[in-house]
Amino acid sequence: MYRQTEGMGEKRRKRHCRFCENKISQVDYRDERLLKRFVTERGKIIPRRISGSCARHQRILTVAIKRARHLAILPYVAETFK
Amino acid sequence: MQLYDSTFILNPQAEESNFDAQIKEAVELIARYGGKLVHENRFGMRRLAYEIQHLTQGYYVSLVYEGTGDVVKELERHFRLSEHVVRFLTTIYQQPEGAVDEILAAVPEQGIAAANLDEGGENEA
Repeated sequence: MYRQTEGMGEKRRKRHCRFCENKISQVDYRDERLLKRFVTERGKIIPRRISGSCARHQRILTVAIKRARHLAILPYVAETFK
Repeated sequence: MQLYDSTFILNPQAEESNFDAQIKEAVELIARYGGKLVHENRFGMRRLAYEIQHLTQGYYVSLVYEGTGDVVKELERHFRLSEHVVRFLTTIYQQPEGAVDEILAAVPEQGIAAANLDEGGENEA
């Protein structure tokens, strides 16, 4: 597998964990506004190779998203488009 | 003793639906089993992300309390038997810290690169 490098049009931005930067250690599973940004339109959890979260925070985030799904704050599957 | 956080959804369409009475019942139950209520948070009516028991809306309440596992056991038993509670979740309470506002500002509302992940699964070559 090849990594896209510079010169392919867009420059590769360095990924960084947004939670580490803001020193957040807990993620509230009721915070829909925050969690929504880490799932796709369909409701899938965005992998950390895309979002740039560190392993620890991705783990915390994943648990929070799953709890939110149980409480119908986030959908398990969103059929917003076909 | 441990701090617990029980979030539950009350049915707004149940017969004799009275949110105050339901919450009071839960709070009294906590006290009866030796627990101590620390915080009561009513999030109010919210739209459900998917239908539960043909409902599209629910009244969200969260209770933070101190107690032993017995309190949790009895409270969850009460939730299970109650017709007014449609969903509940008990977790160990964790103090929220840090500001999420900066993340909210930095990340676009549609999520990070939301589009191409849903199209045919993974985007690996």
